[in-house]
Amino acid sequence: MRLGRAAAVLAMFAVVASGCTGGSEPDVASSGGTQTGPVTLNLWIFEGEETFLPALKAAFETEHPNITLKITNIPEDNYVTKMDTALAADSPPDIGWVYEARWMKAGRVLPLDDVIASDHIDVSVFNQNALSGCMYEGKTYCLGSYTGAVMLFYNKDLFDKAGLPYPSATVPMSIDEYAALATKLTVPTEDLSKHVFGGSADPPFWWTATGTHFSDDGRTIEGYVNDAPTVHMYDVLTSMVRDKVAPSESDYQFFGNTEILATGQLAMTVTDNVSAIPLLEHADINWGAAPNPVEAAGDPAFVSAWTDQFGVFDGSDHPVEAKEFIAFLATEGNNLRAEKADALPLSSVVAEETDWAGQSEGRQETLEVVKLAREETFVPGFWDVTAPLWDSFAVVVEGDMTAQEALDDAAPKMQERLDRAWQTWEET
Amino acid sequence: MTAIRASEEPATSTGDTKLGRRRRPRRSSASRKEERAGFLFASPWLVGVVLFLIGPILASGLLSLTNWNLISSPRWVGLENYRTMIDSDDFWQSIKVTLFYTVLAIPLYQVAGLALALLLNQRVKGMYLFRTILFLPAVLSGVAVAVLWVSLLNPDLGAVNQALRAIGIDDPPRWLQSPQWAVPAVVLMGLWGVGGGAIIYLAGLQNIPPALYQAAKMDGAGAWQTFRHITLPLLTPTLLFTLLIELIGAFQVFDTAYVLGGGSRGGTRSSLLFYVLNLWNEGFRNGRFGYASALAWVLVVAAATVIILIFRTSSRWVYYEAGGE
Repeated sequence: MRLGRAAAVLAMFAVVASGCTGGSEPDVASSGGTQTGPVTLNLWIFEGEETFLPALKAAFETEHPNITLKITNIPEDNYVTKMDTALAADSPPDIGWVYEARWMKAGRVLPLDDVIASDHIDVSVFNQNALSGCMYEGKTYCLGSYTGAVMLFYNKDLFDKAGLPYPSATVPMSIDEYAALATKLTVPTEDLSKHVFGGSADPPFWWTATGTHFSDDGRTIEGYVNDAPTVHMYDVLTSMVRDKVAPSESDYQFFGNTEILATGQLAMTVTDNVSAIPLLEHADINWGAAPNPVEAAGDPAFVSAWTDQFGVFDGSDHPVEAKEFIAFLATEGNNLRAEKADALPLSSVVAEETDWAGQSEGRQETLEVVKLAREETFVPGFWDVTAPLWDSFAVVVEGDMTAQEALDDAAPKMQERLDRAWQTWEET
Repeated sequence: MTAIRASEEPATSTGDTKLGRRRRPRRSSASRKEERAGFLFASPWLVGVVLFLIGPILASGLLSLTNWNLISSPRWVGLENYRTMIDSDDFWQSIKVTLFYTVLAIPLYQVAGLALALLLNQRVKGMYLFRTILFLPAVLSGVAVAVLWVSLLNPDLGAVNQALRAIGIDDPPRWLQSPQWAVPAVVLMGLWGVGGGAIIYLAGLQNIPPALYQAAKMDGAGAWQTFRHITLPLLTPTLLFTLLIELIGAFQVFDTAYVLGGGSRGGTRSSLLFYVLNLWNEGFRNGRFGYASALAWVLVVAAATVIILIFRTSSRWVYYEAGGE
């Protein structure tokens, strides 16, 4: 009877324990060096890589028959939370998008300098601004296969119709020149479905140099976000919305400016090449690319760039194989990115070899514009710190405040957020 | 005759008698075995509760006294997070938004739900169809409903403002884009799902013994008197239940605010920065889990206080049907 009770207790705890155990797949490999047995690498990613990653997986597994790449898609909204939780539980995936710089700072991502050296990966041919998101204290923590960049896209047919010259692909317009050009391109009608907007206008913090809103060290807001040139920029952009030169938030609530550009109802907009080029080409728009407008004529161009920054997380059971995958992504992956996804590779050499631009003037201009990408000031929690600017912009559009009042009002709120973000960064 | 009386503590069977406290009888060995077996069979659940509910609750209490960003070790800061809260504009704004919503939404939903239930309680042909139609919005996804309402409430092109303009209101509210109208817009949206509450009221209405209505009718009571003195008092337990559920729901508004407010921004000028949205922002967007835990504890204490107050005062306004002996 006692034996029976003991068996019952054991069985019960076995049930509980089995419920608490993760369903990890059996692996021959143990942590450490290269394995000869079958290895499964877990990779976490969010939406948008449905074409490229399966092709990359197939190519990688063909070259490494003992390695299986298991891709898990996580909605981008939840990606950071899920990764943070996995890191806290010491069970991150082998490979993932290094979304947060603090993961590098906390030592939760492995440096790749060893594999870059051993595999002779020439990182000098990569877009350096895009790669800067992978760098921390002189070490490289991630590599990628494409170049994403925020720039001005425009509809050449609308320029031709208005008899206006195209914007330069190398010299940026001032904000006043941009607004004046947009006004000339606007074709106003009562019927919104036929109205042509000359340009888009939104809070410019995400497409202008960080110095427009922040001090050089990224720690101060006051006196930068509300200085005269920045106030003027907000004045000009909000006037564009009020004058119906630019679409308002409620004009096309379910469409972004990129989609409106692709319908032929918007002449210019600041957006990114990753989403814009496929959309414009699919819509058969005769498009061009130029650097983003700047505060004043003569200011240096600013284009921010990024890549699909994949890294290997600390805690991977197979760091050697995972790094091998990253090396494959940064080399063969660049070719596949151009061939399979038709996207601008991170490597300028691959872009040239694969003739990514071809005969497309727009693509050739895009290549010119991404060369202007330069390093930005690091600001921790950038999106949270700048969030009040959406409201500032909206209240100026509504006419409830002047741009100066709205930005003066936002400055202390932003400073509070910035101080907190720096504190969190420094505690990491 | 069944009587109606204010709620009282139900009679308990603790073993007390007129002769004094009775000694607990000695239990037999079989009874002890049975008790052990009971605990043994319940233990997987008990282990789960301790590990996955009580443990995290206690951990969150401790975390609220630390700075923790999930990937570094927590750093003890004592009550600093609670002090930070007092100085935080977002904290006070989130309280303001949540209270405004609570004050506006709960009475409206209670009255609308009850009115709808009274209509659905009528003996009319096809009533089951009406009940089904009115309950349908309650089973739809909150996010899907919110997306639909974003379109309906578009200030320039939305159907709501088109209708208002058609009846002569030239300058209708800008709803979600207006700091003053954003919360009323969310309340209006919630009104659409009031059928869910109405079903609960309907169940309450149908539990009222018909004999009471017959007696009232014989005594010459009119419709209003019957409602005032029979229906409403006997529906107060249901009202208490829905009040508590709606109150807890109001303290936990998140998905609607997230969708209608443009993600974590919390709407124009933080007009939709509900308490839980602010909590989520601090924890999951800003990586301040210690501070977010402190916010969670303030919410728990505030909600518990309000709920206890409601329970304590409920004996004055909640009526239960007494035994029919």
